[in-house]
Amino acid sequence: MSGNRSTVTPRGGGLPGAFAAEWTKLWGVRSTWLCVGAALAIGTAVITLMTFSLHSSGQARTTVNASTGLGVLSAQFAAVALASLAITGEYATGAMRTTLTAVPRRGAVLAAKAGAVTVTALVTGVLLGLAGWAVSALFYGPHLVVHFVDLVHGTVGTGLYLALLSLFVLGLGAVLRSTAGTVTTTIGLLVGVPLAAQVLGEKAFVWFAEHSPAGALEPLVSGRELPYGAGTATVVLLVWAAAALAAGYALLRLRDA
Amino acid sequence: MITFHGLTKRYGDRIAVDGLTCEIASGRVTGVLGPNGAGKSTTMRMLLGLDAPSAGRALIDGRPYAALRHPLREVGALLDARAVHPGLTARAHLLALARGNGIAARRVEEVLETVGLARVARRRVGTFSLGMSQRLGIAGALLGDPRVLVLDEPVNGLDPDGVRWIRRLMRSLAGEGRAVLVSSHLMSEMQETADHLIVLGRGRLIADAPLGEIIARSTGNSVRVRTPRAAELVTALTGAGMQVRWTAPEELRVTGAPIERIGLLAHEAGVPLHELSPRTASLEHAYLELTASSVAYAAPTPDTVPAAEAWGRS
Ligand SMILES: Nc1ncnc2c1ncn2[C@@H]1O[C@H](COP(=O)(O)OP(=O)(O)OP(=O)(O)O)[C@@H](O)[C@H]1O
Ligand SMILES: [Mg+2]
Repeated sequence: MSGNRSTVTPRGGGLPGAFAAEWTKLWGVRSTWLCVGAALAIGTAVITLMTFSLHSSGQARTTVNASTGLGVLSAQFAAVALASLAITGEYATGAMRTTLTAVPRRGAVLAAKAGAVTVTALVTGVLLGLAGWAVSALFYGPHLVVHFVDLVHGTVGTGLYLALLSLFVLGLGAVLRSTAGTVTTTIGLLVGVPLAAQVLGEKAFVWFAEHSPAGALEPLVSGRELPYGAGTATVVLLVWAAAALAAGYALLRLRDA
Repeated sequence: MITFHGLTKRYGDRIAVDGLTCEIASGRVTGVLGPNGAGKSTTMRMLLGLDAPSAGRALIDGRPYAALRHPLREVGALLDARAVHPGLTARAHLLALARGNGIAARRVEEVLETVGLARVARRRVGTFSLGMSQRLGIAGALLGDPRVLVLDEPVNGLDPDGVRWIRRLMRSLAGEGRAVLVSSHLMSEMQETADHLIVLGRGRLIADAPLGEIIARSTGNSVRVRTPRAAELVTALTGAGMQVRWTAPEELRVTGAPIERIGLLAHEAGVPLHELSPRTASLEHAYLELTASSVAYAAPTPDTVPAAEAWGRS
C-alpha cells in the first residue's frame, strides 16, 4: 500500500485515456484489419471494373472521382461491420462490462469509441478516394480531368460519408447491442429503403429515401447536386448519426451493463 | 473502505438484493457467502456501477464508483473472467485497461509476470483456458495497484497451485492494508482466507461477523469426551441440560455447554476422563445452518426438504 498515493498527481485517463483504450482494442482485433482491408479491396476492385468498362465503352475523358461512388457503395458494408463490431462485439462477449469498469462514464466510452471509429473510417475513405484517382489515372493517363473539387469529393467526401455512417452504426449498435441486428438494420436502411422507394414511387417515401444515409452518398462522393449538394448531404448524415448516438447514449446510461 | 447503504436491486418483480447495509473494512479479507442466486454478483455489479441500484447506495471511500477518475487505480475488480474480447491478446487487453486509467505500460508486463501469463502475453484471449482467463482477470484487477479489490469467485477454474497462490495473494493484499472483498462457494478456502464474513440469503444480509464468531455461533461446535464410565457421565450431563450423543461405546459428543463445565461435572460425578477436547465446527457446517432457510435453488435430496418447501420458509 503506497503511502505516497495522495501526493502523486494522477495523470492520464479521462477522455484521451478512454480514446487510447478504444484505439488499442479496435486495432488489437483481427476483424478491424479485415474490415479495412475488405473495404479497400472491394472498393478498389469495383472502381477498377467500372473505370475499365467506361474506358472500353469508348468514353474519352473522366474525372478523378467518377467511379468512386460505386466503389463506396460496395465497400461501405465493410465499414458498417467494423463500426458495429466496435461496440456489439463487446456486448457479445461481455467485454462491455470490463470496458465500463475501466471507464465508468458512459459518455466517455461512447465518445472514445466514436473517435476511434471516425478516424478509421475517415482514413479508409480518403485512401479509397486516392485509389479511385490512381485507377482512373492508370486507365486515362493524360485524358483524366483533374479538378481539385472532384479530388476533395472523392477523398474527403468519401471519408466523411464513411465516418458519419460509422457513427450512425455505432449509435445503433449501442441501442441494439447485437452485431446481427445492427448490421441487418443498417443494410436494410442502405439498400432496402432506396430500393423500396424506387418500386413504390410514393412521394413521401421517396423523400425519406433521399434523406436516408444512402441518399447522401452521391452528393458527397461524386459532388453531383442530386437531389441536394454536399452540404445538405453532410447535414443529413449528421442528423442520422446524432440521433443514433443520442439514443445509444441514453440507453447506455439507463440500462444495466 | 466499501459502504453499502440500503442497497436494493429488483429485476422485474424479483428482488435480487434487498436492503443490504454493511461496511467492508480495509486491511482484511471479507468473504461474501450465500447460495446460488443470493445476490453476491449483483451486489458487486452495483458496487462497480455496472448495474444501477433500485434503491440505496454502494460507495467506495464515500464516493460512487462512477465518480472515480481513475477507477482501476482505486478499485481492482474481477467479476467475470470471460468478459474479455476473445480476439485481443492478453497484453493488448491489459494495455487498453492501463491506457484508460493513465497507468504506465510497464505495469502490464509486471502484472503479467505476477499472474504467470508472461509467456502467453501475445496469445489471443479466446484461446485461454478458464484458469488462464481467471489469471488474466486478476492481472487486470492488480493493474492499478488499487486499495480495494473486488473478486467474484476468483478461484473458480484454478488449479490447486493457483488456488494457493490466490489465497496467499489475498492475504498479502489485506496485510498491506487493502480492502479485499471476495465471494466463493468453497467453504474450506474461505475458512483459510477470510477474516470477516458477510452471508447473504435471497438478497438479505444474514450475517456480518468475524469468521471466528460465525463458527463459534454454530451448533456444530461440540466437546468430545472419552470415558470408561460413559453411562454415568451421560446422566450427569443431561441432568444439567446438555445434549449428549454416543459416538462410540466409550465416547460422547456434548453440545450446548462450555468445555469447562463438562470437566467440572465429570469431576463432581467422580467419572475418570480419558479425553476432553473441543471440536470446532467447520465453516461449511456454520454456513449451511445460517443459510438453510434461504436456499433458493435447492436440489431435492433424501435428507433435505424439497425446494418448494424451502421457498416457503424464511
Ligand atoms: N440481469 C438480470 N436480470 C434478471 N434477474 C437477474 C439478473 N441478474 C441477476 N438476476 C437475479 O438476481 C438474483 C441474484 O443473482 P446473483 O447473480 O447476484 O446471485 P449470486 O449470489 O452471484 O449467485 P451465484 O452463487 O450463483 O453466483 C438471482 O435470482 C438472479 O436470477
Ligand atoms: Mg455470482
